[in-house]
Amino acid sequence: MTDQAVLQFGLAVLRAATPLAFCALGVLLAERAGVLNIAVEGMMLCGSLAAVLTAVLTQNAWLGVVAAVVVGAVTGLVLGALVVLLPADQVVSGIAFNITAQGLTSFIYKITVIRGVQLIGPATLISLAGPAARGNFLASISPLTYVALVLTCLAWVFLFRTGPGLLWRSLGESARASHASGMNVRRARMAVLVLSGVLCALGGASLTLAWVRSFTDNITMGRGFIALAAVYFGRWNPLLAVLSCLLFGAGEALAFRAQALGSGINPFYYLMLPYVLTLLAVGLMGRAVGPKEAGKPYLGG
Amino acid sequence: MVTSLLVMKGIVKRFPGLLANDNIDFEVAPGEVHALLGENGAGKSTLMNILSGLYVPDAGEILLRGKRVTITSPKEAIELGIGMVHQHFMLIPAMTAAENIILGLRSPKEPWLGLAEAETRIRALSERYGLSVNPRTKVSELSVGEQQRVELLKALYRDADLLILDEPTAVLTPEEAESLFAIIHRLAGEGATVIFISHKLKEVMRISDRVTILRHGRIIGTVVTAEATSAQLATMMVGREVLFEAFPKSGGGSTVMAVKNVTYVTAEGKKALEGVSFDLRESEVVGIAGVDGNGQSQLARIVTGLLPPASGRIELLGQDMTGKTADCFIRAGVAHIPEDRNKMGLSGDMSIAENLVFKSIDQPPFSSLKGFRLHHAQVREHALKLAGEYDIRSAGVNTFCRNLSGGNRQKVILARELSQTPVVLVAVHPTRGLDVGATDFIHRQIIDARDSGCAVLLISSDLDEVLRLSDRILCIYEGKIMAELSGKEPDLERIGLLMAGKGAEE
Repeated sequence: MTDQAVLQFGLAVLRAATPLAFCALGVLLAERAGVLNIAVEGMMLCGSLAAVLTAVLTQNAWLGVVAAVVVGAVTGLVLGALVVLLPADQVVSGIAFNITAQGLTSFIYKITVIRGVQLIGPATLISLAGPAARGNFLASISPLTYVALVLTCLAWVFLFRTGPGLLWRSLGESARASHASGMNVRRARMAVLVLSGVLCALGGASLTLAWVRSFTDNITMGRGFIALAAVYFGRWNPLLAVLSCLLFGAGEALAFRAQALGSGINPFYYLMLPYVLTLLAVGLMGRAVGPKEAGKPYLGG
Repeated sequence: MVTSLLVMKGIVKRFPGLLANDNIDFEVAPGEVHALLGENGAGKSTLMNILSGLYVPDAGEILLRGKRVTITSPKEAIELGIGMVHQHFMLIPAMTAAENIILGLRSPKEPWLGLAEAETRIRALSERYGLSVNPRTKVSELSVGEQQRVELLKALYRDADLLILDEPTAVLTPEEAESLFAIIHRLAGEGATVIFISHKLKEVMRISDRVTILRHGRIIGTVVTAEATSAQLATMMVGREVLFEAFPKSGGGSTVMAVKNVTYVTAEGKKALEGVSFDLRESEVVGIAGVDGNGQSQLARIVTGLLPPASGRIELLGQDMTGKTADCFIRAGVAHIPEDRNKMGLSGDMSIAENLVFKSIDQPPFSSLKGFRLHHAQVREHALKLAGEYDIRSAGVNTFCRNLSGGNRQKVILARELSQTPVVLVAVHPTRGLDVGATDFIHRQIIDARDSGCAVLLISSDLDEVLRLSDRILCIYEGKIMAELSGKEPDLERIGLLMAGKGAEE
């Protein structure tokens, strides 16, 4: 492989890993506060669509990002209403949310997009892996990737080095203890889910705006669940979780690269690679103990 | 006259179907150790949960240092200097002692955690009150006694000067309880006020300055401990004289179960049981006396088939049962009152009637066709009969077991196990946490079973219970049987020493 090829592969890995990293952060922060966010896949889909539609309509990719943030916050509120306020079962609610999001995004996409305009087009500059930056690796990386990396470090510092971070972790370990030390558990978890929704939607936005540059039905293809596995593989530590995202991202980049080279092997085998890798990683990992109360609703107050 | 630190006036708290606190007046002087004495369900914890902000009273007022206060959340209680150490600790096992202590507080270095400063302060507090704990250790690695100290430090760290301890010795070994008493004395000496909730007379007599007695949600009276006798307090507590006399002893018949040289090694490689041998005879109660955690749990599970021993033999009526499943033990007539009635003994989300047929549902008359066809009428009839015989008090046999009191839950287990007329009954802590009335009832049922021929293995860390029921006493220490004593006039001092691992045969 030439230097250029290595460079391109590196960029492909980062492109594939960025959506995973945003989602992993969203899932991780929610689980650390005691909420299982299975709805990550649906939130990601909503973010993807909101970003594409807004970017196309306004011809400004950054406005697409803003739209994803807003929609993500709304998805967080919806999930919060279900699993924190009611509270319904977190796994069942998450699955229901995902199914609904899939149907709803496909429907909205079909009624809003005029045939042939689904591509975002060169006017939107957010994907920087274009010819303008050829040869300059750092400048070729999407700004959203940098955002994800900065957020990862911030998340780690916040969780393990600040007072509010300690409270956040305590919510996931013992809501009762958090309540006894004066926290409003429900309100805190609502806030956590809004943030989680925003992060997952940003994952969707980075998938469509900084990589695929279009929307199709179920474009996320289980990437939200891969992020879920990355959190598990990273033992609920933001730095390790994002490293796992890079690993899974590399699997995806490799699949595309191998497919492009062509070797007579059915390309579908390559496309399975990231998923097989996820399964292997989780299997190898064995039993991991996460936040003790993730998935348990708090009824005390 | 000394002004009261705390006055609670006319406190009323209702729960659905229960008047937990009925117009309670309660008063505490500054710097005293004030015991709150009463049976389970007397309303002690409810009253203190009101004081610590977990419950809001339906009526009544609270005066603290002469000022009227309303406490609607634990946070407000903490701000008023009221710290409560709950019976079930509210600590986070995955975090360190220091992290648990500063949880929810503003750090002086906001927004940073300021862990180093916190650790310095914690060490200073530990020093002052004799509460030795390493602030960097994870709570999951601390012993129960140490965890309790973390809870105390948590309150002291928040400048609490009124400490409420909810049945603090219930989870402690006798040694740990001793050091807790020393800590309480030290706290009072340093000017703190302690409210001590308990239903154990001995402790109350031992450490309190004054005692307030509650019964059925009402105050019976407050007395100066030094001027009261145990018998007086007991009468006030239960409304009748309780005199626990030992039951007449039995000689025992032929051997029913033989445990031969049983050894068990835990997953961590620790020897939990070492060369344990004894016989259980017909019509006899054998008591295993010992401090919790000396191999009793493993022994109970081995003799009921729940755990295979590493080596050794279990014989039942001459048959080798080693390595057989729990099902085989049940079929052979081994009944079990497990140590954790809520996790192992019952299913809380199933009814009394269903719990009562757990071990016999596949047999007639409760089902036919090998258990595939259930006969609900028979199950219900059986439950009604047992509820009457064993005095299980509930709204009906379809009540979920989780809605029963501890005593009634235990009676459900007892009814299920004894109604099968077992050959062997293994009873582990059968009355732990139960009030005097339920304890006495369960003791009588165990003795009745013995008198009708059952061989009973009683495993209990409550020495009074072992002495009251046992015909023979085996002392266990670090997985070894230290000695066997007769249940008739046993030498208490010797048992105490054996339980502490001292002086086997010299």
